[in-house]
Amino acid sequence: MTAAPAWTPDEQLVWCLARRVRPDDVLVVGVATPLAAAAGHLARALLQPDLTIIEAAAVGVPEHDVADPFVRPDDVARSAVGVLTQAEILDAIQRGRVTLQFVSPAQVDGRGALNTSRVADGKGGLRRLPGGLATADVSQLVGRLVAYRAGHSQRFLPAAVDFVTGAPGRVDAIVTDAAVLEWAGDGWRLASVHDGVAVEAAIAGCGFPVDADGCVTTEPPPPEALAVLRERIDPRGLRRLETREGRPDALRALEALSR
Amino acid sequence: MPPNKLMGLDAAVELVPDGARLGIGGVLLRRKPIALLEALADAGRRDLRLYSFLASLDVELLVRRGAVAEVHAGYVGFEQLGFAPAYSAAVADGSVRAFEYSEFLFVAGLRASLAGLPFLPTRGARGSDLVAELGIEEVACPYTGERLLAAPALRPDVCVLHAEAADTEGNVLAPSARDFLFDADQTIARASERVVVTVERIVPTDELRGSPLLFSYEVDAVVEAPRGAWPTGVPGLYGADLEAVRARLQPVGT
Repeated sequence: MTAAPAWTPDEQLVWCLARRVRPDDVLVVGVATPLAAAAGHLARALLQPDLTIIEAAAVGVPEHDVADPFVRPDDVARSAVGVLTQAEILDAIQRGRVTLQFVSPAQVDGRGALNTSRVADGKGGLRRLPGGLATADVSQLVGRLVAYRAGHSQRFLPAAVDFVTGAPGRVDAIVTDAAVLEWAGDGWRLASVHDGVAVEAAIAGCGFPVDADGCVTTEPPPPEALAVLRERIDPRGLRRLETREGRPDALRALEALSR
Repeated sequence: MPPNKLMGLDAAVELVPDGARLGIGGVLLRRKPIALLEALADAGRRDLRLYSFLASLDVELLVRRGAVAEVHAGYVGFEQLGFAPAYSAAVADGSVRAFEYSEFLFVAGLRASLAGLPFLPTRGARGSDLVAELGIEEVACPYTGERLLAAPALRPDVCVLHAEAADTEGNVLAPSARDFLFDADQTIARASERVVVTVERIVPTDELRGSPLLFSYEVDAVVEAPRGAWPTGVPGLYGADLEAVRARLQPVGT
């Protein structure tokens, strides 16, 4: 019997996202995506000190608890070097100044198309989601997208999305709670499976063919990453707002903070 | 004497007829003109066609009150609090038509209006199923032949928004906090035919000199409505009251 890993699936996911950052990236982080925000701040703290983070249009935000934007949004904006206007942020994206974004669509498919708009309702129709925000745009304009979700299944990874919000072309990797997939130019390659996940199980969770040649075990989050994440960047575990199992507790933690 | 544009909520709602294309300021749970929207619903407005970039309680409450025919938005929901129940139900049963925009398609449409142009080309959203749904056409760059989307100008009949302060002539104070999309209300207001602003307080012109969001010639009506964005927030003054928001999201029907 082996001991349970000393990290949780959401921590593995955050570390995998952080590792996708390259030197001098400009990363845009939206509102209410604490897992993506945590990955950006972790990457800048430990891996890529030159990373620029544009967080809810604020540029040059110092490291902070990812709970702050929910509880004290004015403070986060005030701590920034400056805040871009609505036109400035969209223009920066359109002229190719933003190189990386972590996106969490409802579905990403075998071609790298993204769906944040409608999903099958089980009765032959489509159920409308709140809306894709800039998904359709960033899928054409941001240098690289990494799609993530703590739910490795054919529901998230179908052969073809139920609705194309964002056309294929910019999704460079998919990170789930089980594996990392990388775009190989003509399809998805299973780059690694997380500790304790069978390669066959990861393949079975994909609704499209994957090339598993050379698949390795994902690098686990090192102790210093776990320390920074747990003690500085997300001590209240709000990254788990974006995981099915962790969401109820994370919502309670957020409500306690908001009172 | 400059005209006095100060009026009560009752008079301001007369500027928004049934069937109007209604632009709504604020984003997500910030600066939504809730008091004015409640007054519109109380006055029995019907068949409104709403334009709200990132919508929340604005769309949800008007749909819940039966005031809406169409919703044009990039997002309608409550972030960590979840979906908009009345809106979702009304779209599902066909009583409200939903038009989903990408952020670029929506903002390019507003910026076309700002510039007095019929459309603005954009590279956003190409290849998306949203494009055909919205009936958006392509245009070729006359110099390179590049295919671009021609986002049609969005021109609401009336825009309603909530700000911190204005004078009685209609000069509106810019947000004191440069928070997320702090200038978005200026864009949608200038894209609209008429503008109604509710404010926390009326101030002498000297108090907003040098920091205008909108000038008096761009504003048709000013209404003093303290806490007029509640239960959404006004950054720097009061935060969103999440418990009060949640209380307004009870399931509908069945």
